[in-house]
Amino acid sequence: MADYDENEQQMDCALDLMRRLPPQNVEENLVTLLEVMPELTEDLLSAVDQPLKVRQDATEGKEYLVCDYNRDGDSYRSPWSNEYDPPLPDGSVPSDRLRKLEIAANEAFDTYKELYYEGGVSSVYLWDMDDSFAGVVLIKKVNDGTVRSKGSWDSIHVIEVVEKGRQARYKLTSTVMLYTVASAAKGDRLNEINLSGSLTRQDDRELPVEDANAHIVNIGRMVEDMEFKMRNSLQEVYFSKTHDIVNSLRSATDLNEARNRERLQRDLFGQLKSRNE
Amino acid sequence: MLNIRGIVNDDDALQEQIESVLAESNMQQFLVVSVPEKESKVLLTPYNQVSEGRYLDPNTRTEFAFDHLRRVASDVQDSESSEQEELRASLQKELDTYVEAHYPEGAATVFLHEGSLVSCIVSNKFSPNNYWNGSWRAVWSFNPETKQLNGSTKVKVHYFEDGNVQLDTQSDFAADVPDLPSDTVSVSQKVAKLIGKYEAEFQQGINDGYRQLADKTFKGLRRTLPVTRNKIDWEKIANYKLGGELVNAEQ
Repeated sequence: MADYDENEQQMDCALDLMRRLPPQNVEENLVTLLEVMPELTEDLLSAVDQPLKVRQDATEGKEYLVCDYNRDGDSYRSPWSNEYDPPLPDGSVPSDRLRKLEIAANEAFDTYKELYYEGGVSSVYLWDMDDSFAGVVLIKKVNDGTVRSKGSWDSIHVIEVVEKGRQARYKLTSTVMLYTVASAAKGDRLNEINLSGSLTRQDDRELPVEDANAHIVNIGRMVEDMEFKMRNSLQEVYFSKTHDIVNSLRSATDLNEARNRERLQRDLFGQLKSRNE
Repeated sequence: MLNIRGIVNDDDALQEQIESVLAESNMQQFLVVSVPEKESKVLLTPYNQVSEGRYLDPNTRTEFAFDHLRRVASDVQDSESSEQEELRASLQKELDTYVEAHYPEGAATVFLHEGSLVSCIVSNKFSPNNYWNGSWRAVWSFNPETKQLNGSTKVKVHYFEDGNVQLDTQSDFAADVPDLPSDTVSVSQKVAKLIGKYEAEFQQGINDGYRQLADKTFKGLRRTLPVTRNKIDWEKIANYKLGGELVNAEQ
């Protein structure tokens, strides 16, 4: 028991540290952290969100996203073929029943992805749990069309489902990683503005499960609502909040003008007040 | 801090390292220190570090010891002034006027370093209760011999409520100061004016960058709503495939 507590404490410290370090260096930070605490490797890899990597499913001719949830050892499972790459004869796969749901979920979210992202890659992985099942919905979209700026959006929606007869409880933990970089050439120099990071939110709903496709509908709606809210939050935090902070560090206009104006107003107000008394 | 202690798990080894790590960090951040017994504020930078833990304040011509862990200055001693003092003091005066006009809580110190006048400007805002910090740090080096002005400005903003978002940008400048007049006051006025001009351009560049990222990059990643202008009909999507699967299974 003592060992577990110490481990958990170290984990919390590590996660907290990761949260405060520059998100642009997630992978570097992770490697450094793991060098100091190799025993936490498994736990840490599954907790800290790294940018999603894309792989090619040669047999299906489609792309898929990789994360800890479709990893077994050094192999990754494709949601399209359900096969591991490099091949793993005893690699863990979802039960037959769950695999059917997984196939349907991948199709549904592929459509979702096209409608909202007009491109990009999506993948859904489900796994069996004692009482029910859990899953992750991954989406990645890269926008590097122009020279002046580029960006990428990575969604990671982890969902825990507990079935209770004709109802189910869905717990959603969503992280959206947003990386944006603007470049401006100045003579022979290149100035870069790097605005990157992630936001995390949660949702918890109990919804009816009337028929076979209810899970897809329920999860779909929750993810869609969540991304709607998060897109707004991202816009607010990234392009409004941080921008305001920059402009609070330095004023483009002469602050003395504002200070003089305030002093004049105070004097005027003071004079008016004394005249009325 | 607590995080590092929790991970390293060895307090003695930590204590040895901690002072030098903090010193490094404080000098990188241009920590502003009040010199005891003098009405003077000075930036801690690599340019005014006299020896380990001791710093120079050129404006009061004193040296003092600084405890990086407790952030306390002590042991103030007189120091020598340099030959370039007249020009340094003049530039300091111009810079103070500039900083007061453009940095709400900023500070700047001009140091003499290897024959050049190095101006360090810092403007920080810490709001940990609101989950954000911001820092603006600039270093401008003017060489009176070659009449060259070199500068580097770095801005970092960190927002960490339910997430971790950082702005990171830096710009380097180099210019020959044109038509330099000979008197000290005019020279320092000209240099300060140039510094102000470049920093204003840098700030404008940041504003332009934000517009580009918000209007083009972000919008190009994900739509607010599908082209239908409505949220998705999930029953329709789910039925399309899963219905088919079930039908096949039953047959």
